[in-house]
Amino acid sequence: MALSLWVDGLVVRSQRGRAILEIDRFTSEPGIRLGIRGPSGAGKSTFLHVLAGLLPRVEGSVRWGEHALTGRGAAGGDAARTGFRRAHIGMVFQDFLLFEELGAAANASIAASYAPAGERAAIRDRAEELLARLGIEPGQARTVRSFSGGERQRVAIARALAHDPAIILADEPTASLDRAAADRLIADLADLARATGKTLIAVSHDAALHRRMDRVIDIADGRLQRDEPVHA
Amino acid sequence: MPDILSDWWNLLAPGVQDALWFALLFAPALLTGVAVTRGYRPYGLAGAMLWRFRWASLLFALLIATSIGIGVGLIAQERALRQGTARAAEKFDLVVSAPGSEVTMLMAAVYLQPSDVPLLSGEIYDQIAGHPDVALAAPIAFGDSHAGAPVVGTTQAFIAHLAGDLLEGRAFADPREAVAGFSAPVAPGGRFTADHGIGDAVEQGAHAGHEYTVVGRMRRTGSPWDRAILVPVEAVWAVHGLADGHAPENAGRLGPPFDPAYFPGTPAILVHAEALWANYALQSEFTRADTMAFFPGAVLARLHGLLGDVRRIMSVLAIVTQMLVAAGVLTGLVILTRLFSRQLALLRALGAERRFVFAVVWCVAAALVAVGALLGVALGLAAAGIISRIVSARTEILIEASLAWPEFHLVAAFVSATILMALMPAAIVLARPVVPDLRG
Repeated sequence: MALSLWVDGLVVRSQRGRAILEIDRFTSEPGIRLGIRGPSGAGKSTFLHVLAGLLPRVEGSVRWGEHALTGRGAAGGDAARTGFRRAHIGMVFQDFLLFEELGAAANASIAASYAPAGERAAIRDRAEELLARLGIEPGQARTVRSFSGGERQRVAIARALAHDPAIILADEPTASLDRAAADRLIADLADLARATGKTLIAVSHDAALHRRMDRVIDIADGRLQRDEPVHA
Repeated sequence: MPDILSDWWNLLAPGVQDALWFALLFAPALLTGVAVTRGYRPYGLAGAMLWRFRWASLLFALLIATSIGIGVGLIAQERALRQGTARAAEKFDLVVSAPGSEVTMLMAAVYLQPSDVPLLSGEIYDQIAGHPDVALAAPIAFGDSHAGAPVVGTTQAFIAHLAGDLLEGRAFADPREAVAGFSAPVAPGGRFTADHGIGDAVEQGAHAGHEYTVVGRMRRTGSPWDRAILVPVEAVWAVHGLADGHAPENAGRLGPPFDPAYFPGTPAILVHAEALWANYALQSEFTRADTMAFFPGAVLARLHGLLGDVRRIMSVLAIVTQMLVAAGVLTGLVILTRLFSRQLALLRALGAERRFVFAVVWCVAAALVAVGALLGVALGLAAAGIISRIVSARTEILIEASLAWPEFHLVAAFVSATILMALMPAAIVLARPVVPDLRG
């Protein structure tokens, strides 16, 4: 189930009260592939964290479909946001953030360790299927410590999708990869999102990534600058 | 406790009581574990985190192991000492000697520790040996030695009482024959001469003319008598230039009856009565101005009581160290969780509930405590085993350290207390904000 995004009157403040991100109004349709670009420190990652429900105190309203993360209609606080993340969001990080001591399959199916018992088998099956599709042998015993950067990020993508979320949030997914690995990863990520109808929102400096998106927005100085459709 | 409960408790076998105590002490750990991990599978992640910080983890486990090991070793060793010394004194029902210190006599007659003590006369021996309740009255004439092993003059009946049938060879039948203890420095067929005195006070060559031939070997008794060489008491008297306990017309006789007029004296007499009550009657009868009668078992019990006080003090010290170690481990865990903080923030970012992260941290702590406790039991047992072997080798008192319920109670209490305390660092982790930790 894809979810549309509504952002209204969003303000995120630093601990000293300075506004570090202000977005008056932003919407996106379900299943879109959205690129976010902008200089370092502009507030891109903060925006992504807001969309993931990771920031506890923000002003304004953020809604995914009928689920309000903040503002009017948001209930249940941190536990509700965590539950929403567990059900609907898959995350990919710049430096992979895998458990180095575990193998590819154990990393990709990490959600099974905190999911209800009835969902565990499905998560593990989907993780293995995704790994195989991304060219990583799921049955191998070696830990991800010995994997290349490209392989690690593909394990991270399998992890982000294993619980079948509607939304994938990626924070600089190609920044730690060489060009060839980055290109392959962009293709994998964009194709998987398209094939499964998931919403993909990727913060990135990588122009190659932006070219594979349906829409790219710019954030500078904590404000939305430009919003353009991309036609590859 | 209500009467019905205490009645029920008192009806249970001691083993069942101990097992129930253990279950009761261990229950908090188990219940906490079940409550914390309910509905989750945190073990793989906890294992991964332990492995990531394996050296720090190992250090914590060893710290816990050392503290548990001290406690377990102390309890096991003290019990082994108590059992070993009691076993070594088992055959000495009642000892009669000249009045003096019971402890000194216990050490001299039962544990063969050298000591200068006055002698009992032939008349006294005769009164004891001739008493209708006495089944065995054996002189124990210590004071000589060979190669550091005590040479003790006694009777064949005493050897049979102490160790049963001989392991090999035969009883002595001549004043120049001897029976070796199980691990004495002489073997059947060997010859030796006894030296006057024992230990540092030995006077070599004093008994040069009198050579013994070893004709038999005793079974193992687990007491200092295993190292001793037993000779006819007549021979001990003879080498000291004294009468041999028998009238001239009975010259060459070995063993009782002795003639009081020719009985030079003995430092101690072992008395054995068939009936238990008779021992008490005899003890009371021979507790008088010129004799002292005591039960080695009772003297030992008093010494053990003293040892028990020392143990209690040591136990308090052990518990204090364990608490200090537990506090140290908790501080360490709080630090360790800071090392884990990025992984834990990641779990939260991926959608894991707070309780799951709590369960992972708690599992890490519980695993450290459990592994440390198991290692500690092994360490304590090994240490007690080594100390026992050294003490056994030095004293010939067979001391065998083993694990029993008190050690398991100690470990269960420690594990439960520490595992409950481990809830604290797990809770502290939850207070950390996700996004800053995620950025690392």
